[in-house]
Amino acid sequence: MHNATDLELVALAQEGQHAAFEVLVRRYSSRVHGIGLSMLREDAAARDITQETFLSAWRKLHTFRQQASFRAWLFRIATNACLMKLRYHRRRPEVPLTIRGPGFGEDGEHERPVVDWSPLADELMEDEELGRKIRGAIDDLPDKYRTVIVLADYQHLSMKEIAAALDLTVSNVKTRLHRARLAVREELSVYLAGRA
Amino acid sequence: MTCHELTELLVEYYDGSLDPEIQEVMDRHREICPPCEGFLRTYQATIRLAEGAFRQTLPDTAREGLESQVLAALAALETG
Repeated sequence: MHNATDLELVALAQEGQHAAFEVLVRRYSSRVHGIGLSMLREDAAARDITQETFLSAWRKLHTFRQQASFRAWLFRIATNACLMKLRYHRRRPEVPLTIRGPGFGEDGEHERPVVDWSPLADELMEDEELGRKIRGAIDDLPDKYRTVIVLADYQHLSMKEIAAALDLTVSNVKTRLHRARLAVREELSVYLAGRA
Repeated sequence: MTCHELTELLVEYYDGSLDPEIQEVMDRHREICPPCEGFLRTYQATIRLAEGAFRQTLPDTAREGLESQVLAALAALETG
């Protein structure tokens, strides 16, 4: 059973075979915990989300359609649970995303020179302060942008899977991801200019 | 292709979903445009850093504990 595909396991679980669902739990609990941890930043909260996600998936399994991706469906349950928790505990109103650059002239060319700080970033890849800075920049993003960047750049879901998980169009996902990356890049540009 | 147009296609450029002809136009553009080359390199570095920011593999014992917790909750749900 361990070599069965997700959809084969779901079909068996839908027939009442608990062992099949257990395989899915073992296959995805770390990933679901990873989503919880990256969005909520606390191990205990991530564990709660993991449990809540699988309980909810088990209860709703009869609604799952075999043509969909089980992974995307499961991650949708997990991200929705995280978003609900974040909204419930939010202490301050969410600030809309503002992106200052890059600026372009009427001819479509860059208005200003662009500093390439990527060699410094590579050099500092394991640097704790830089790690805190980037986590802070991602944490500061409004929920709808943070969710997309976490699912794309950390969880490596495809645009189609993210669209299915968040009930968005692929085009919307791409726009949000691009804006999220631009906002984080800007923060890093300012920070790394200070360390150059 | 202008720098602005190129910037709008970066998500597709890095997930490999672009039409090969457009990809080639972008590759040629960055070769002759230092601001775009710098911008693309920093955009890609942002993706790498975001990927590494939360990388935290769950130790085997913690993973097993988590699985046991979930399976126990499922069993409790079934037995009511």
